[in-house]
This record gives sequence, structure tokens and C-alpha cells, in this order.
Amino acid sequence: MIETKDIKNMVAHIIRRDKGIADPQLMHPTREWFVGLFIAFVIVVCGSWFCVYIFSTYRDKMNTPVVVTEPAVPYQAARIAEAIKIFEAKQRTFSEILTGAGTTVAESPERPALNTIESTTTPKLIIEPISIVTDETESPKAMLAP
Amino acid sequence: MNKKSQTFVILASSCFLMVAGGFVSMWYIVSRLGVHFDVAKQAITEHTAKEASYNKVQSLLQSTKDDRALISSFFIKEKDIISFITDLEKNAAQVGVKLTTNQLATVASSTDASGVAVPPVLLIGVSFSGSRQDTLNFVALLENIPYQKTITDVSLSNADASTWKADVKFELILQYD
Repeated sequence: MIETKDIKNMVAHIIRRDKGIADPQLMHPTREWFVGLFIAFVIVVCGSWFCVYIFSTYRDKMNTPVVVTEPAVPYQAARIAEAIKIFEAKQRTFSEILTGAGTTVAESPERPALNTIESTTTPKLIIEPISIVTDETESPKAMLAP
Repeated sequence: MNKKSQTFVILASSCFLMVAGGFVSMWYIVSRLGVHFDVAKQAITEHTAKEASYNKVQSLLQSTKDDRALISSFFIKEKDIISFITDLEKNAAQVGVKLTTNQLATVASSTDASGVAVPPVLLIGVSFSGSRQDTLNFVALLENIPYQKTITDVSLSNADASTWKADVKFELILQYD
């Protein structure tokens, strides 16, 4: 007759068997070698890819020509030439007036009406108002502005 | 797992860690060198750009040396003021008018209300008298003085039948040395 003690022994035996080492946890040399080889293969492939990537990146960087953008230097040669031309003409006129070489202010064929004041006995102002002459073309800002 | 298997596992793990560490350290070194390479390349680029710009400015300065000297001569210098007045008096005598300088002042550079810099100027006021032709000639002479100037005031009057009198005020752009 099966007693309680026997049943307990059977259960304890079954439980003890469940606590045993499962199959996946057991060492299988062939499987472990293949797993190791696979991991090594993955590492080698990833490392190789990384090395090729780094190499190609820096090779491209080294081969990329240095693009130099030269800043434009503001120099308005046309305006300078124009200013020089104007001043040279003035200098020429100045010299001609000074030497009396021909460029003199010609007498008007008729005196302007403002120039004749006959009813007065004392010298009078004959040209008024004052004229203001400004050389717009000679403005230093216009000439030398960058 | 027996002891031999444990030894193999430990050995394999050590090799794996060493290889992984080697890869990581190599990656770090290569990245650091790459950053250094980028910085160096950027510095070379900037240096090359500056050098090109310098060469361009240098060549421009060289090629425009004469023009710049000529342009500079259009502005009276502070040290030349006295000689300019002396020359003006000589020129007046040469033209045939009697010249009197009645104003000579310098105005320092400033900034106007709109923020535009106004250059320093030399204010000159002269009176001269002579025949009508000579007076007009001298007015024309003043108008053609080869300096950058602004004639601000001109008045002519005849003192008598043969003598004319003129007052002229003008401003010369002053260039300090």
C-alpha cells in the first residue's frame, strides 16, 4: 500500500529532477565554437567596415581642394580716374591763367545791367547776391567712398 | 561546467574584451585625429585666404601708388598752409591783383546730425582788387586751384571805373599728416 511517505518521496524525486541542469545550459563544444566564430566574424566585419569608412572619409577630406574665397577689395578705379581727370584739367587751367597762356575770363561784350549804376556817386555793390560754388563732383566722399 | 570549460570561457571573454577595447581605443584615436585634421585644414584654408587677400591688397597698393599719391596731393596738408597762402599772394601779384588775406582758420573734423563724418577744413577768406579782367582772372584762378575745395562766398564790386574789388571765401579739405 502506498503511504503518504512514499508519495512525498515520489514528489521530492520529481522536484529534484526539475532542478537539474537544463539542456541549453549544458556545454556543447561544437555549438559554442560556432557561436564564438560567429561573434568573431561579426566583430571583424564591423571593424573592417568601420576602418574602410574612416579611411574613405579622411581620404576624401584630404583630396578635397581648399576653396579660398578672396574678399573683394573695394577700389573704384573709374571714379579715381575721373577725379584725376577733373583735377588735371583744373591744374592745367590754373597754370594757363597764371601764365596768361590764353585761358582768361573773357570780357563780356556788353556789361550786364547790374554792372551799371549811374545814378550813384559812390562805389556800389554791383554783383549781388553772393553765389555759392560747390564742386559736387570733387566731393571727397564721392571720390573716396569704398 | 567543468574547470577546463570555465578556463576557456574566461579566456574567450578576455580576448573579446581586449579586442573590443582595442577597437574602441582605435576609434577614439582616429576620431580625435580627425577633429585635429579638420581644425588644421580650416586653419590652412583661413591662412590661405588671408594670404591671397594680402597679396591682392599688396598688388593693388603697388599698382595704385601713383594714383593715390596724386589723389593725396588734391588735399592740402597742415604743414603746407603757410606756403599755400604765400603762393596765393605770389599768384595774385602775377595775375595783377592786390591780395589781402582776411580769414584763415581750421575747423576740426566732426560728425553732422545724420552721422556723416565731416572732414577737417581750412577756411580762407581773401579780398583782392585790380582791373576787371585781372579780378575775374583771379576768381577763375581760385576756382581752379588744384585742391579739393568749396567756394562758399564770392562778391564783386567796382570801387571806381577801373578798379574792381572781390571778396572770396572758400574751404579746403585739410589733410593731417
